[in-house]
Amino acid sequence: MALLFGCALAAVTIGPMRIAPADIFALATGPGGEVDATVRTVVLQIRLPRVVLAALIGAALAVCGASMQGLFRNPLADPGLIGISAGAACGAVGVIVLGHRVLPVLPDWAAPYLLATAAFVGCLVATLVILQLSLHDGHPVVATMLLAGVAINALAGALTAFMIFLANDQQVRDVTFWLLGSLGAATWAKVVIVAPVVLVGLTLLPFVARALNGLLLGESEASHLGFDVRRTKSLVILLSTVMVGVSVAFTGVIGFVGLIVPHAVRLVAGPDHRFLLPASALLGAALLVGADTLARCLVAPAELPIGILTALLGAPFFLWLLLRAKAVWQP
Amino acid sequence: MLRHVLLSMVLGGTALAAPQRVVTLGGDITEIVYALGKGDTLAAVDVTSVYPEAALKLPKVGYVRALSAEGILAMKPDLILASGEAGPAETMAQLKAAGIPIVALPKDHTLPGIEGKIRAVAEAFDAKADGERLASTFETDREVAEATAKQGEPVTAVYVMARSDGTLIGAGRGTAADAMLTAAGLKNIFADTEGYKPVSGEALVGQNPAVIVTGQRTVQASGGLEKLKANPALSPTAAVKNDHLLVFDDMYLLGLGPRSAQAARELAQAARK
Repeated sequence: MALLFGCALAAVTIGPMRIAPADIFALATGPGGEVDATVRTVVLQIRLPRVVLAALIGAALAVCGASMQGLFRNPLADPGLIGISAGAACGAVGVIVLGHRVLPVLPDWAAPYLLATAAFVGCLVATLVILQLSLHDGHPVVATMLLAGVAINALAGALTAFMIFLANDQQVRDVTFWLLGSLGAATWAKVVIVAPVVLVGLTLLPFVARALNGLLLGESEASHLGFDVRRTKSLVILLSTVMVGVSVAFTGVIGFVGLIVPHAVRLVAGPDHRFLLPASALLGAALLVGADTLARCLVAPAELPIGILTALLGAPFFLWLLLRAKAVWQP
Repeated sequence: MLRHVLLSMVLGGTALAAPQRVVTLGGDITEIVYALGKGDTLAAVDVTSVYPEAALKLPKVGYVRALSAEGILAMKPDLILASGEAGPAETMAQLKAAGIPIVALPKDHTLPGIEGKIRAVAEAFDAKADGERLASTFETDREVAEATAKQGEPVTAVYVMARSDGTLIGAGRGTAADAMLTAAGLKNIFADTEGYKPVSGEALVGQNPAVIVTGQRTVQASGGLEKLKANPALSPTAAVKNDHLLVFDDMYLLGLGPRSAQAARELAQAARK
């Protein structure tokens, strides 16, 4: 909690535009009337929505990763596994490449949301297809779901690649930047859409924490222990799809957070989902807020795509944890 | 008419004091600013601004279509000149909200459109006369290119780029290369495809272009002009047989900036020698 708060505070204070802490304090405590208009816009309309969006999305990605690793009993599971990222990419790339054919008939207010909507629909469709394929007697079979996920990921990847082939060189660049993720276009309007979805998910997922603990023993063992395995599966998959879908829709694909944050928490604090889920959410939020701050500052006045940084920061940190834990467990 | 629209946009968007710290978003706009002799007012540019060389030494605020507002605002600009490509829309809205004067130039990839951009940029610097001079030089070159283009039979042409693995990329509709071929009165054999696309060697040989246009970077990537000519997709064409393979500086030919009309004129004349 302190880590997240510290990261958030640093994130609001630090950026390519140097702003005196006194100005931030003035904006935070009162109307801040004496603060320069440019400074006010940068802090209130650019940095603050970015930090809030980064925290929400970091938390969503990490908590969904944690619950999916539990559900699939697979350390490599992350929201990408059930087609969320590939489906979203397919939808988004479709709009980037072919959207100009639809845009003229759309009302002006809807146009800015076309890409996000297509990405969200894409991930929904991919996940539903995978879910449908894996049903056996109305019950999703985890092993089939993994395989269907691989197939649908490949199919969505092929469709995306085909659209990239159709694209002109500018569109190809747009696609590349989208696939690397960015929080640069964060606005309060986006926060207002993402926040309720993520907050509902963060509230509901801990309810299946005990069931996920039970699942660590195996599916039939969990049902013998009295957990409703089917309901747990549906809830985790539904919430992950919606939470990650809405996140990816607005920021592009941000990798590694969902995969690595839960493992980092587990290496430090063990596999109990009652602790793992909230701790992953906090660490994920802190990681993404921190990474976004670096993204803004490292090559200022330009900006690094955040997907590069989450991988660059997350992977070595994770390896370090892994090596340290190995030393403890295998003396 | 277009001039009046641009004029009102400019007057609506800028303060009257001469700007001292300008940020340009788009290589064509940067080139115009330098051509007008206002390069010393530039505080930062985007990464597509690679000409003239002085622009390379300025701070870079990112790629023109994936900009972020804070980096630009950190340069404390008193004027932002944005090409029609600049975005995303959220960033442009944030810049506006921060109260910095922005001149948003219209998206136009035709040579007459460049004249409009030159005049609008000059207007933003309150240097109308210089803009008029630059625009009319441009116009003259463009008219020479057009006149040359009308002489004789239509000439078929192709613009190719080579990757270091030897595969060729052709320029279809909607590319700067296509705009330049058209301006020089050449018939682009790839006009049916869109954007830069991998070329089928057989199709290219089948179309038998009379002129092949390419950039210096492609010649380098191919390991020299002779190696490029020996490429099996090019060697059987009339263009190579008649030694009509024209090599241009990449930015000069494709920059769609103030030098484009001159480039089009040279291309039109070279293609008909």
